[in-house]
Amino acid sequence: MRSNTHSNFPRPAARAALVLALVAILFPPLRASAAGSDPLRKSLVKIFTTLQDPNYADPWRMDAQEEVSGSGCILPGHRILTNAHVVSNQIFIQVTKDGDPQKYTAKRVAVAHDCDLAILKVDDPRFFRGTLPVTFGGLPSQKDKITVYGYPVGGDELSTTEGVVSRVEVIPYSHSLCNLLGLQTDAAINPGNSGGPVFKRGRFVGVAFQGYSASAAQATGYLVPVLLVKRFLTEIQKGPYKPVPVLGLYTETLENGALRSSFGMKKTQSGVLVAKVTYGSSAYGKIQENDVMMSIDGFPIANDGSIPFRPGERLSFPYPLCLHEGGDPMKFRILRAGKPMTVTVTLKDDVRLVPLLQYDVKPTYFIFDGLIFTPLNVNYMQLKKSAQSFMSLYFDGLPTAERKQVVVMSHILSHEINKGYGAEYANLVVKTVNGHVITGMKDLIPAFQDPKDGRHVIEIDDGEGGGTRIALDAASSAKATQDILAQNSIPSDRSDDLK
Amino acid sequence: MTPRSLTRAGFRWTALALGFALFLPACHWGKRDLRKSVVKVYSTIQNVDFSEPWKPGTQVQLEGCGCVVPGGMVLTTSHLINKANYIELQKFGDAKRYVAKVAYTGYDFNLALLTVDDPEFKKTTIPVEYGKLPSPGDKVTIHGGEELSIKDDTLSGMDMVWSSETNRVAPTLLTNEDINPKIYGCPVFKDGKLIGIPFETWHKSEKKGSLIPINVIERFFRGIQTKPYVEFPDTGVTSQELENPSLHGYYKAGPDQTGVVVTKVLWNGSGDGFLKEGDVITAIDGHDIDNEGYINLPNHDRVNWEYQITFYLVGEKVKLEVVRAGQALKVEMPLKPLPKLVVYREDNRNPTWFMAGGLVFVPLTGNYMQMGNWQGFKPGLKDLFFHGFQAADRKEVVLLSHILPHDVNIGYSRLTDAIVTKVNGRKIGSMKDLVEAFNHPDNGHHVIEIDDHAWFGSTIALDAAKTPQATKDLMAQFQMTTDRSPDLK
Repeated sequence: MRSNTHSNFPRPAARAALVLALVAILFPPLRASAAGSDPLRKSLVKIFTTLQDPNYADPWRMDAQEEVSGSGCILPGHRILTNAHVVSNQIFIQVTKDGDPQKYTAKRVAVAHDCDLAILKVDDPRFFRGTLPVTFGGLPSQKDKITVYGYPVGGDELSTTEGVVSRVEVIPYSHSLCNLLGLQTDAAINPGNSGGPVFKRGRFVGVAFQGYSASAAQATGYLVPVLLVKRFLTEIQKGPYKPVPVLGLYTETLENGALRSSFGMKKTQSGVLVAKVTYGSSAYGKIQENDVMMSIDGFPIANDGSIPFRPGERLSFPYPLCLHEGGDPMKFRILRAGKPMTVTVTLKDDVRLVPLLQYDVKPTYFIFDGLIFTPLNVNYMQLKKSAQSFMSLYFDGLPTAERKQVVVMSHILSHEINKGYGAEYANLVVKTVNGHVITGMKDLIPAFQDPKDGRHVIEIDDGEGGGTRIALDAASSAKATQDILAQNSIPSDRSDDLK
Repeated sequence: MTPRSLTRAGFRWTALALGFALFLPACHWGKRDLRKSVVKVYSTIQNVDFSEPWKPGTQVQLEGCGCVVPGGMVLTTSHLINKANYIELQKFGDAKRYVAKVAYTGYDFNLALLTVDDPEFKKTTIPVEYGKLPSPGDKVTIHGGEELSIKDDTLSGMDMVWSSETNRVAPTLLTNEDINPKIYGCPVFKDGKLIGIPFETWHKSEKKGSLIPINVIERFFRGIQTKPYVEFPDTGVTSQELENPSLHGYYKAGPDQTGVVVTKVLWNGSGDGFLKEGDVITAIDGHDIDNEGYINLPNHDRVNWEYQITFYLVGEKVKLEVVRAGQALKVEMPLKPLPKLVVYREDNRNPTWFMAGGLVFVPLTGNYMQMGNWQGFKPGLKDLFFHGFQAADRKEVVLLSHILPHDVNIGYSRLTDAIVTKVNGRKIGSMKDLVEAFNHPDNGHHVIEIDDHAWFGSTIALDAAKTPQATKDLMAQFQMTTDRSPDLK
């Protein structure tokens, strides 16, 4: 939730907009603290970011620059903590401390997109004069009173809002689409609040980061809990940040007694049923379809998929992953064909056929005779409305040994060589090129070096399983690609990662 | 039309003047009074509530019109009478309503013929005369609407257009002006002869009206001579244009051998056993197909080659010229209907359903999908709707629609719209398979396997011993007299 510095009118936060867009239509009343007397103000930072998003429709170019603002706080060690989405795709960052109009140049030194956190540094030592780092508190409980600090829309000065912790739960993080532990609060959280600290009795307990638009739900804001902030800090102390690992399972609850008995479960046993295991994921080869997962990392799993947390609190079973990193072993008790056993899984990052939202990377593309090829990912699907046909691949598509990526022909830049392939030749899944099966972008380039009978033949899947082909005259190919690049001012026929 | 009938409608004077302007040319052609061919159609439509398919859904009244054809029956669009449980006809200038029955329907054509038992009805009506297929630029008049208004329009062309009523493309005459839905079913005349009937379509360019052309109407009449339900045949293949010279060469067609390439042969479609993937179809019934997939008909526009298929009856043979791996062949192909997996069941006032232990199963149909919130439908189901075709082991998609809550099905309540793949180890390719599979519990359980990974999971088990009582409890609670639709008994 960043707000535009050029206007007092809020702009829908582009990043957070996928699921939980916070569109501040209302300007909630702000409660001003007694200025100067509040020591917590000395930890507050306002962040001004210039960013440039890549364009997934024309992957060789960047979109226009945008300016956004957010909030942050000072951590021990002269570091600034904010949300990843405040400083994603950044090209220039400036910060101000509370009560000082002087803008200092900042650098992003670490980022965790999965849990929406980032660390900034300021080289100028004067910036930290008179500031106080926050003091860390513990994970708050439901009904605990908290105060949100930040620079949301509605004015320029520091704003504070108060509320209670409404829920402690594993929730989807809009920035990454990952499911991680989050805190829900009724304190007003609006665009510009993003990255701002949340305190309980003066101690730092979370980072404000997302909410619903007023039309969807009211007084429903979310915080990244201090637990994930600590994990982030520990990770980056050790080396490059490792995201929260993912098991790679689809599971279903076992609340029905007949379902439990059909899987040979005793009355004393509980757990969730494994419906599908993703090829190449953490669980792959260790946990199987139709296994009952009875415990995770020592936590017993109930039939509704929850595990005990603190007294009176339950969380959904993937929560313990938040306490680990890729490479860690994790123990599971499972029931396979009625026999209990223990399996140890080595945790890995998420493996997906259609990757979730990505930041700070340029799109991968390859242009051949005007045909633009790109891997299918959520960034692409968000950008192109016509890419709706890929929704079932996104929801239900799993990688296999043969196919780890979906290669899409996005659209065609017109030229003599590709005449006859009209506007309907867009957003199509590529099956083969010159008879070579395309399992990922890396297969494309060698396949195009192998034309047969003087032509390149691309077989596409138009939703009815294939059979539709694009053929191109191989003799005119090289020149056509050069012409098309020149005509469309495209610097290269491929992205840097394919060079 | 006379000035008296207009004033009776209470129209303003401007409307009256306009009415004259429109009326005069219409009057000029017809020695016969065309008004005596036009009737109003009132129908009571019985909708289906798929959340409780055992109960009749809400009723809707529809109004439209039709025309009396030689023989005395009334021709109208089938969307006016699909699912109707009561139909009345009214002659213009006559207050009396006559009860009508459906004699023939051609859902694929969106046409229906109605009969009236009362001999009074025929007395003052005059059947229409059939015209010839008009050409672009021809002036036509549409008779019908609230008070038998007469409207001039101009034809802009003929195309294959997606019909929302039939979920497929059909030959369509396009008019220059948009047509009000109230006029669907009304006759359209050129020089006093019937040339088309307005109906609803999608994806037509700009705001244009769509008419079912007279040659499709004639094809419908030819069809009902043998069968009460008339359907379009289909090529049973998907095809691709060959405009790009390199693609044309790839399929080994010579420079003069223009046409379209077969990209997929559908199981149990017309092409199954006659055509192969990669065949270039170069001509149909002696008409050369160009590389854009069009044929030139005598005295006619260029039309898509599949237009030609529309005029055959199912079972009749079409003559194709084909280039297969460079060899020119002649193929005589008997025609079948399109083997779509998800169909519209136009007459399902009584939908097919089955309930066991609170689990409500229905076949996936276009009707089912339209009753719900289209946006909210799972993407996989939408893919099946548009691109799903039958296979040897899958004639229809069986869906677990929703669950009526009961102790026996605790824990499954959030499941909706899940595709059923197996029940008690048996593959489910139709509703009949499903009902049969429930007779064979597996080790004391009914095990239902579903294809719903990202949404819920894979397996449902019910205690087979408790399921019959649960079904009975729920039947009482939801006022059901039976656990399945009559067609499954």
